[in-house]
Amino acid sequence: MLVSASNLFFSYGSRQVVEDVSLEVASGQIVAVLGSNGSGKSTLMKLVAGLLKPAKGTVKVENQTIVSMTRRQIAQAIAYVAQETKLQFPLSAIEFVLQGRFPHGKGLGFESDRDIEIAQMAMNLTDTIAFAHRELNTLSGGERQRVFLARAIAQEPKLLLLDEPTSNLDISHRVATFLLMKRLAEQKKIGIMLVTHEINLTAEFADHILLLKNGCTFISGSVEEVFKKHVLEEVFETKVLIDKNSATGAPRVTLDTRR
Amino acid sequence: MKPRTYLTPKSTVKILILLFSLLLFSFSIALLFGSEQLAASSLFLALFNKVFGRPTGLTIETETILFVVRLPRAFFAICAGASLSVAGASLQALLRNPLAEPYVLGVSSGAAVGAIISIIFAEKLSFSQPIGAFTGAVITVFVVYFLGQGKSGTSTERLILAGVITTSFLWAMIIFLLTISSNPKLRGIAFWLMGDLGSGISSILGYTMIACFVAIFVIYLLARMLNLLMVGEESAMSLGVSVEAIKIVLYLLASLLTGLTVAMVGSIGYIGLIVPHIIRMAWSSDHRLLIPAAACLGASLLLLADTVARTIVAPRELPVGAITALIGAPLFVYLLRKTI
Repeated sequence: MLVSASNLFFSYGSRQVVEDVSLEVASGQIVAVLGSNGSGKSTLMKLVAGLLKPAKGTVKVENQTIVSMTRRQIAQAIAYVAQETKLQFPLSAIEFVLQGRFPHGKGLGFESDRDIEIAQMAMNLTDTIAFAHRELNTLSGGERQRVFLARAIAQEPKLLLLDEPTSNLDISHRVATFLLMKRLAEQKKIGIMLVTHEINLTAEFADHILLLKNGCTFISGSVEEVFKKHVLEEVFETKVLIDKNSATGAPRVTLDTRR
Repeated sequence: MKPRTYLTPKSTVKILILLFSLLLFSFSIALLFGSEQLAASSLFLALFNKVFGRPTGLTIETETILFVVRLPRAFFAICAGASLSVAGASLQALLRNPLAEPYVLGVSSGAAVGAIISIIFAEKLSFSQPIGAFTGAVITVFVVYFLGQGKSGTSTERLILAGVITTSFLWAMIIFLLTISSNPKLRGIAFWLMGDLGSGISSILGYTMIACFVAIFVIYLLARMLNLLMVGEESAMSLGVSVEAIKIVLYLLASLLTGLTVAMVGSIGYIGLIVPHIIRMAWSSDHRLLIPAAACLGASLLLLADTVARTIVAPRELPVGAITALIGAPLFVYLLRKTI
């Protein structure tokens, strides 16, 4: 198993945020974490990324516990894309993407030609190469979000952790981003864990779904197991209709706004 | 908006050669101008002769002005300008705040209090003054850092406010200590609040320059990590930086640079704000350029500012801190409006 997290607990002060959650991601697999706001999705992701230390439970990366790994070793295996990064200094998109090469470099000196090639490739994949030399703060939220994803791809990780990677994107780039995830998983055998509210695209692309409610696992299973009317209605506390996407046959969720 | 590309070794070297030439130019200006003006030809001949141990060919008075007054003062300016600019650049990246600067944050004032206390209570110990200044700077950095942290993390305004409050408290302490003590080594209130390159004590110049150079060099070695830190701590951590350890090292080095500078020449403000800002605007935020470039540009600007301070109201002199504040404070307001 590429990454296995078992029985994780975490609290901010006295507020229990993640409670006894386990999850596994295999190479080439896309695992989606769904749940309402404040259900502990982002915290869970930070625990898996090794950015937070669980109060109880362990995270193992290729059978090595993450606490026994150096930051650099973790960074060589796991790339993490946060929801939003605010920049205070002028930095071009390509400079930002090149940061992804840090864990593979010497720590000193400059990026190699190969580093630059990899960064440009990542920017091609995320459709950001056109504004590679523009300052990050002058880009739109959606463009910036794709640049963040490009940095993670340039990091050449085994596991890619994405916290709401499509929240600012227009519909065509949402689809493109999910297609790209699929491609990275299939061709490069990257394991992907994403937190998202993109429920219908998740139904089409995810191999496994973890549904969180109040920090606990509500259900963990395949798309068919999770995408059931009573499950989604109970977790999200809203009415839904489920039928099939006529193009792909995947479950399709429609929000029922009648009260 | 002009396009920005990534930094290459070639462009870095080009910019650094340019800035180093500016430094040599400013250095010459600082030696040539003053109450008595020297001719450029005799200056270079004298420097050349001095290096090879030959008679300088100057009159005794001119020789004294050049080698006893202006040369040490120019070296103080280089050392202080480079140190404060690099300390400013490091603090800005660490705090992700383009307004962070040793003087604005009160770190310089903390160093001044430390230096004054060590002069009053431990005068006889060698190096007590720089050590006291360093200690004062470290304590202030951490106090301001914690005061600046609100419930929802560090905000720009809160940090600056913490700096302002800490500074006014420390200034009161400076004035109190200077009033109760009659130690002749204390060099007056203006020196500690505003900085004066003419008050540097030549006997400690050599050690201080070496220490500053080493500190700047170590920060330069950490330049790539600074690049990651300026984006965010979590982001840097996820890219393999041992953030907690590196942060402490960098805060200590920035405090060391500030402390050494204050012990030498008092609190000179805003140079650490102006210089990194110019380099980021003109070329790049990449610390592999920013750190050495800030050192060169900071040294040059302080040399020039001090030349102005010495000549503008001749035969009287302004403290150089007055000049840097006259330029720096408006820039600070401009940056404040831009960031918030």
